[in-house]
Amino acid sequence: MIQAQNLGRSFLLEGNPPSLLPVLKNVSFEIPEGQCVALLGPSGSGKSTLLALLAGLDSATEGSVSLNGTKLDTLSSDDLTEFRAKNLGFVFQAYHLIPTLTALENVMLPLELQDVPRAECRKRAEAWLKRVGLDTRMDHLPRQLSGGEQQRVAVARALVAEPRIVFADEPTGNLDSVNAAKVTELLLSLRGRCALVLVTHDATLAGQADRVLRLRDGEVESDTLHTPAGARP
Amino acid sequence: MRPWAEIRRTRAEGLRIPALCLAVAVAAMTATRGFEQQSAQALGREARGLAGADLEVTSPRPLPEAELQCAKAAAGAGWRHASLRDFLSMAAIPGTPRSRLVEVRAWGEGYPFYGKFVTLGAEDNKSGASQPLKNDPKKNPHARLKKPTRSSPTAPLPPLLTQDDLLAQLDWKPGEAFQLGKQKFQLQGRVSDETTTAGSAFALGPRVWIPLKDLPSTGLAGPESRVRYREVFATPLGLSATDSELTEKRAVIQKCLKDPASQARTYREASPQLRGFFKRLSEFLGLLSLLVALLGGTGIAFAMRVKLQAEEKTLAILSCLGASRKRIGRTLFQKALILGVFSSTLGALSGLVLGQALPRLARGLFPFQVSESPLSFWAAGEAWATGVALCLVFSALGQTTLPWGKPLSLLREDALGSDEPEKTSRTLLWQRFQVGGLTLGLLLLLGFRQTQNWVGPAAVTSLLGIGAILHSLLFLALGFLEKLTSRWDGRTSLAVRLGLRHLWRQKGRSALAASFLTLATLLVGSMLQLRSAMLQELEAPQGAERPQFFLIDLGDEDRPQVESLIQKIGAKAASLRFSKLVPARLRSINDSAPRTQEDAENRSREFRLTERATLYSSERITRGRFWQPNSRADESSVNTEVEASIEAQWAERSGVGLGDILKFEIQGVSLSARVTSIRTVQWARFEPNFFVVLQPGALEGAPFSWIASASGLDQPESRQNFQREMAKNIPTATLIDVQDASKKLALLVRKIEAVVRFVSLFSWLTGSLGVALIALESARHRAREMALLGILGAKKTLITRALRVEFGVLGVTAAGVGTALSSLVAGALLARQFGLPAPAPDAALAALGVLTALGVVLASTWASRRSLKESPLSLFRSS
Repeated sequence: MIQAQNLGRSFLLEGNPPSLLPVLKNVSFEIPEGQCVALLGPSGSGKSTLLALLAGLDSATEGSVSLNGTKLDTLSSDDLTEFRAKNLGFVFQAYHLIPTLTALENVMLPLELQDVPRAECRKRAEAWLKRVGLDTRMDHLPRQLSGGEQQRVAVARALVAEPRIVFADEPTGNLDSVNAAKVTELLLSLRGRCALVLVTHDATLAGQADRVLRLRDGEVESDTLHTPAGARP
Repeated sequence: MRPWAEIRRTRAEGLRIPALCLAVAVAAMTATRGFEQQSAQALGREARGLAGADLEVTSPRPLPEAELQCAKAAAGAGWRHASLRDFLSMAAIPGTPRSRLVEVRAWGEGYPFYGKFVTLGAEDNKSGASQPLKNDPKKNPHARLKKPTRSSPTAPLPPLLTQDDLLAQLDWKPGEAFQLGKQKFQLQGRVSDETTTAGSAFALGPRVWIPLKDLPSTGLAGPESRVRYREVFATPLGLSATDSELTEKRAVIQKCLKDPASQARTYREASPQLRGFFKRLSEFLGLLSLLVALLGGTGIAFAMRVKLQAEEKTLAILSCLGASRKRIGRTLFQKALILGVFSSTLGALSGLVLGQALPRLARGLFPFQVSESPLSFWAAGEAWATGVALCLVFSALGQTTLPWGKPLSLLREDALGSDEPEKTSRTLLWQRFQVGGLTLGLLLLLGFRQTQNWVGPAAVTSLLGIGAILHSLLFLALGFLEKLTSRWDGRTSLAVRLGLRHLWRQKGRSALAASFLTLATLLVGSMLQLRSAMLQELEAPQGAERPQFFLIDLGDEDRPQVESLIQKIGAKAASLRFSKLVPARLRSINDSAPRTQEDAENRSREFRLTERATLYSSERITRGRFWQPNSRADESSVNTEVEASIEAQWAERSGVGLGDILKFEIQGVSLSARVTSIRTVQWARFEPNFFVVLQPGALEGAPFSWIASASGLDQPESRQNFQREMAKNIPTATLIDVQDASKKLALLVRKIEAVVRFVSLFSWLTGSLGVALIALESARHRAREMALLGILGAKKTLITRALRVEFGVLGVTAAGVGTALSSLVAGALLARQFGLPAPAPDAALAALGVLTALGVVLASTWASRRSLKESPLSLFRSS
């Protein structure tokens, strides 16, 4: 489903003379449908860069990414946007809800962007908010919600359009343990229905993923598959 | 912590617009203060010249000999004295239909004692090039009057001087005489330049000068004529008097005058109409530039917020490293000082250059020349200092609205700006209170400085209030729009809803941005509509009811003569409307002492009463009831109460209401009138309007004259014939050509409007810059939202459309609310001050609306241009 082939990404450093800083080097892997993958690694190892490349938010300097057989570098900017709307969901560490929209409107947004009728959008968004336990806070603005609640709205927004892949960047990074557990449970409940790519430092969350990709200095250091019973080589 | 180096390193990013904003405000202040100072200096410098003397006594009646002698004695030995008589009359070329209303000045030997008075020979240099007389006319302009250039075989005609305007208007040919009343005059010279015709912009006709000794032969200065009697005094030759000496002498002279209508004035107090007009214009321009300063200052406050938000991280790091808030604050203060000094210098220099346009626009408005070339460095310096102070105070205001530099902000960074209410410490609240108070204090002080009275501070408070109301109105309008569109479906609807929702960003600060331009639009729009309504009224085609002439000072015996003259010239459609005119004095209101200043002034000046059975079609009763057409006052009314209808504005100014008793004195006889109705009057319609109208029969037996309006003289020949016959047969009457007077007034309105519009444009420009600044302030939030929408799958077109909706709605709302309110304000002013109906919105107002909407859209789009370029990746990286 997700196929990364010899992925490389370098950044141009200003200076005299300018130089190239390689952040990702020759990364290749495949993620099958419905698999939950945790990307681990120390700071600067290239986790977020890899996530951005996989989500089509950034272009690789080498290699390519294919999602469901579609090579992202062949798509125009508008096509890529449409592809993201239909196939991908995102959860961020800082929630990134639109502050002027209510919880319900934030969740409805991905559906509205796909021209789903408003009544239908509302119905589905309400169902998701109920599922994440926020049915009583639907008309609240983000600033009226706690951090954990905001993140649950963000998860509902990521999943409401039933994407085939969800990218989550440190989804529990800003949360206390109780809220982190709730969000973890929510994300893991997706297992089997869509692929989940997580960048995390949360050992509990990583421990429950199907697979752990460890990065170091822009290269895949290890690629470990977990069984439901425990780790396996 | 080195402010100058930091500004240089960041290439003043984010400071250019506030610098421009402040520069525009300082330029406006420099230009208006400079104009006002130059005008005031010119007025002060030429005050003696305008009066032509040091002291003057004016009176509506000839000064009794005893009073004149007393005044002469009070002036002192050796003081020079001259007598003048000013009045309106018709001048005609005998034997031709050519006639014209003129302002006659009959002058005695010696006048003017000061000022400029340059004459040319009657036929000298008709092409226009100036050729001063060989003898020094400044020293003795009478020389021209004394030396007839031609003599007739019988007796020489008395001499007359006039302005070129009259010669052109009458198409005067060499050798032709002038008829003034019963006397013919010979043109002896043309006055090419002089300073004593104060208020020439308000004059109803060109001026002619005749020797005082020839006035009786004209028959124009009878007891009922509207002559202004002036006795002028000047210090002995070679001596001068200080202002305080003159004030003392004026007080002594005033004691000689028994009639309260006779007034002694120093040269500084002369031309009260001109001074009043000048004061009001200066006040208004001062208020406009105050508004610009307020807008500019608010722009600075927002710019400081933008800057602090952008540097929040740096400030937090500095704070973590141990830099105290005081120290950081000092650096910010230094930055604001650099910004203030730079922008104010730029503004002051621009103001000096732009200010040169004002005297040109105002040319002809004052009877003195406002110098164009000398630059008002004092005004520039004052505006510069104000600009720097505004910058410092408003940037402090901007600083205190953010809890910047908190080390915690480094640990908890919310990239989207959650709009979470900031927790405010007591210290910060106290600082806000202090800086808020300082800002208000500065504005009130500035208001006082700009207008030289408490109108300025009151205006500042009102402006802040109006701003708050506008802000709320815009909020309501946006909320209504949002509700209206919330049920729409589809992608367009999404763009619209997103755009509308974005307007609520940061507690609806966008609405505040729009309030900037709304306020400016309100001002400019009101001015445009006032002008257009006044011009419409003044330049309206002559309707059947609209008078073409005013006839003043008609005796009872003149009435049938005027009626027969109309018949004689064969103007069948012509009609005359006569009103009785009785001079009186208001002695008391409900037998009480004066309650208001207006009341006190009312009682000291002559009042003109009339009686009438019906209302004019342009009059409207607002309170009470007008008497029945057939009702008459009791014949013995001179000593009982009669009914009175009073004009609404006069009623308000004088504090008179329904049921009040007005006591008048008509040549020693008392007349009591009870107010039974209050009515509005359309003053600009040039009808014989009165403040007080009495019931028919109320003025029975009182000495009176007639005032009449003539309408229906549609053919130019009939008008010309009527003028000629009037000048020939009833020379003592004053005939005012309404069309001519309207044209003059329209010109005046245009000139004033041009000056005011020039200054209003500054406020519009500052308003646009303010919008850009506030849009810049939210640019960071906007950029994040754009990026997030991009990640969620919103295409560029949708994002652009949402932005267009946001700015478009903001612009249209600002334009709509601004122009609508300007219509209300203009309508209220027109109805209140001029009794005119509100004008229908015209092309100029529509253009202003479009310009305002475009201003908001362009300024906001420009400020958000970087937001549109924000890639989704940027949001991702910031997480």
